[in-house]
Amino acid sequence: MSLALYQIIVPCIAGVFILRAFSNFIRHRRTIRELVAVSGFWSGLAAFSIFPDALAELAQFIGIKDYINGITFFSLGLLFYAVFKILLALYRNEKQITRLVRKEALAKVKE
Amino acid sequence: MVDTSKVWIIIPALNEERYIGDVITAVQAEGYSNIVVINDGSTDNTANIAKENGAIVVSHSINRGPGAATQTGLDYVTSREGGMAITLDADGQHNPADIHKLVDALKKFKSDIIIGSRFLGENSHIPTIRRIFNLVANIVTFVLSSRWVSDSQSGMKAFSERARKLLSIETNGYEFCTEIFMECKEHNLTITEVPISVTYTKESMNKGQNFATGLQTVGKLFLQALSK
Repeated sequence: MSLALYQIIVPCIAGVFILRAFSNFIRHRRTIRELVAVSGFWSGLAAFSIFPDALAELAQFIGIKDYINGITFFSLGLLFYAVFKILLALYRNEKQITRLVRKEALAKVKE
Repeated sequence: MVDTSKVWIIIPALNEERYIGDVITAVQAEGYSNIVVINDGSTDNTANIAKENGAIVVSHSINRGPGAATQTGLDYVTSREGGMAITLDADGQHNPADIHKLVDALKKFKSDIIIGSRFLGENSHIPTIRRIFNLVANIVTFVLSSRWVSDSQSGMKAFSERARKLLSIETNGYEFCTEIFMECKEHNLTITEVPISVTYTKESMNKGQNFATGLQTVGKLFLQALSK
């Protein structure tokens, strides 16, 4: 089985991100659900790069007929992941702001 | 007979200067004097009117949404070592006379949470679009919490002391209604519904859920589930 360059690079990148997520989980910076979501996402990308035929079948299934796909699909996945991360970060910030506002409101009413 | 001094009424309010005074007066007329208005970053005279009418006002410096305001109200009642807590909307859509129904049901059924359901009573004037949104919200709530109720998005709820202490609402917006059911599942809290009446004004129709906020709600619940 001969591997193309991207079939080596993508799994390596995926491995780094999965390890990073696991490390964050160990240090209580990520929840178990986030770890599962992140690992699932990167494992999926790695699997598709190692087994491109599966990707071709998926591409066929969702209507992308050509095999150009790999990079397009990978890029779309990466963008989706980035948006997801930004949304999650925003959501966390929102929650922190709410906690602060609530704390301030309750402290004021006690004065 | 319930000791009304142990019942706390929580009213989240955003720019409700037109209605808040009347709502507070009507609640007082039912015999409840522990009224907390959570002024959720209003830019009008809501806070002053609430104070003038004898309510305790807890003010968010910026608007955080009905979920955040409700949790602030529950936290305030806990800080005062209060008993049961009842939430109702500030726009006058709820009938304060229904508070007795919720209080009595809390005692009678020994449930942790009583939902005042708009769809169990004789409320045939509820707009069809509201009924549809509510049905969709009920289905989403059921999927996420395994609890089926007729009115998952009702703003009129009663919380037992136990529920008040155990609940921790993390979402800011209207998605908190569904989050409460998810929390109930997590803490094994029991829920009962009682019928209430409802009056829709033009203002109250402009608030609440629509299709766009419904989609946002589902998205935020997904993020909330992931971040737990």
